[in-house]
Amino acid sequence: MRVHAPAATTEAPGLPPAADAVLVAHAQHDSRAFEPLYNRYFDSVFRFCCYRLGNWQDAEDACGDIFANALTSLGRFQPDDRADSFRCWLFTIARNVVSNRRRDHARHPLAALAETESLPDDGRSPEEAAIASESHRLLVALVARVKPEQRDLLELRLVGLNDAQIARVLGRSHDAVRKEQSRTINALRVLARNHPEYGALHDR
Amino acid sequence: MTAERDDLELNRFWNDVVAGDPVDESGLDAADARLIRQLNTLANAPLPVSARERVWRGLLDTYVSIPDDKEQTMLTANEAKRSDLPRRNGHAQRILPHDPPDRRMRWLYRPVTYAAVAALLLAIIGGFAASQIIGPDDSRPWRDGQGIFAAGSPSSGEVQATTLLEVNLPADVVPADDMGSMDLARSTIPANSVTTRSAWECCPGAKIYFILDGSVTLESDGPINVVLRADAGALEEIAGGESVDLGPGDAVAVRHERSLIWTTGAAEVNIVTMAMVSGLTFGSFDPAEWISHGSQIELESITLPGGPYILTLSQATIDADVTLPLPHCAINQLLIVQDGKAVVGKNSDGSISVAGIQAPATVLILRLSAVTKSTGTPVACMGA
Repeated sequence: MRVHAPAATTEAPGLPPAADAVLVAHAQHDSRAFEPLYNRYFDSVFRFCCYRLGNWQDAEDACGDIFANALTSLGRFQPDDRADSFRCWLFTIARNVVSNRRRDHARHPLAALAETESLPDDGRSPEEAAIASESHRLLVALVARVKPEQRDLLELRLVGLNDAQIARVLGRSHDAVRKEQSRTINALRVLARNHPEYGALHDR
Repeated sequence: MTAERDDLELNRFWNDVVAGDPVDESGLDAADARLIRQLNTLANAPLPVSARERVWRGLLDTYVSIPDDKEQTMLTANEAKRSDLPRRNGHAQRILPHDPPDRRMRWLYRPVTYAAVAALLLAIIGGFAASQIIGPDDSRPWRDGQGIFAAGSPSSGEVQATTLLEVNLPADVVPADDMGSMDLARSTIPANSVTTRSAWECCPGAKIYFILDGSVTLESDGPINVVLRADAGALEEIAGGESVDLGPGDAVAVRHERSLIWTTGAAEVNIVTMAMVSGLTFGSFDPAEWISHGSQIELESITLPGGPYILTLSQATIDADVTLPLPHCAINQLLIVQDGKAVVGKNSDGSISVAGIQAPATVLILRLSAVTKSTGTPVACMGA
């Protein structure tokens, strides 16, 4: 079997990215054509799994399940006329897979993305990177303390979904999502205000 | 402005931030805008670069058969079920970073599995027996005879580390069965200050303070144990209401439910805090006046084997990026940077990655291991 590492993107540089619908149509005829979709959504799906499951290993396993489910179900997927149809469908799968895995786990670690496997060289000084890492850890801990339905919403926000997409993934009304996210921000502000480390870090 | 209008403004702003579009925050509370921007930074956090490749390889191995010279068609769900690919709970085969064992060799794994399970049971029974020998003693937090080891000796390990403190904790002071939070923190107590750490009856457990430099007088509302460096690491019990002077290299062990009053002199005091408590606590519970220099707080519930336990605080200098595996005797480990610059991350297997090293950095490492009373040998290492 030929195995190759996928690149971060397989789309031609300088050209506008192909619409999801085009990539889906190709992949429905040939599973090898799934790779551009995989590359397009891997990071956000993986990040979502990290937030929900709390560690990279579990997130990686969940990602395998999610993309495998997507790959084997893609033939039955019927996109509607919205551009983000595949994205919402994929995150609905992701949410179901992660929920099942969480039910299977007796424990739920919270400090997920504090883990480090390799850090990209993004031009930051080590001090800036350390502060960012600390800030990140505290923020993740705050997110872990809001109500489950608010956390659901936040985690989808954190992987780049807008309110309309979140409403479709969660099966809630658009209006309900908007109200819930206002309540979520209020809850986070209260938590942040009562956390001295967070305040000290962001007052620097 | 109505609440509905607020919801719409916040939503529009958040959508713009997520999409990377130009944002107008004039109609939004400044603190809300700031929080949303900070939340959005999480979306750019680094991810492990190899995960993408491993998951893709697993997909290829399991679902996309690509012979080099044959036409490939997509496997449908039904075809996948008919295939001999291992599946569980209706989901795909677990994607592992390692290749699965050869099917022809699987018969070998069964006896190995039985042996591993038997060894695990023996270890659990041994740990339970050890805990029964010692038995709980609620009247005092720490009793003499429970090993306090000389500080300053180099510890074996993957990096050259110096042991600053090694203390033997009775089984009953560490939350039974399930520890909720473990904390390693470094702080400075301001000079000429009197600060109080309130009692936290919510979260029983153990808390240990180690003095890096400076002098401080400590008083508690209940008995505490101190380890004085000047007495070659001897353990001394201080009754509630009595005060004790602590200097560099000294340590104090106290139940988390005790209140403590710290009084400093003309010089500030640098201190390391270690805690193992029940419940998902948040923050170190140290006095708010203390200046924090960083901490690693693990809010992860950890199932503990039978105690007692050894808690080891060591110091190491790291001059290159490194991953410190969790020693096979240890239950858990934490690491913070004492001096220098580094980024620290905890991995799901218990190892700790230290990255971003450009100049040698000094780190503090806290490890918790289970031991037997008679030998001080970590349970997991018996027979090793």
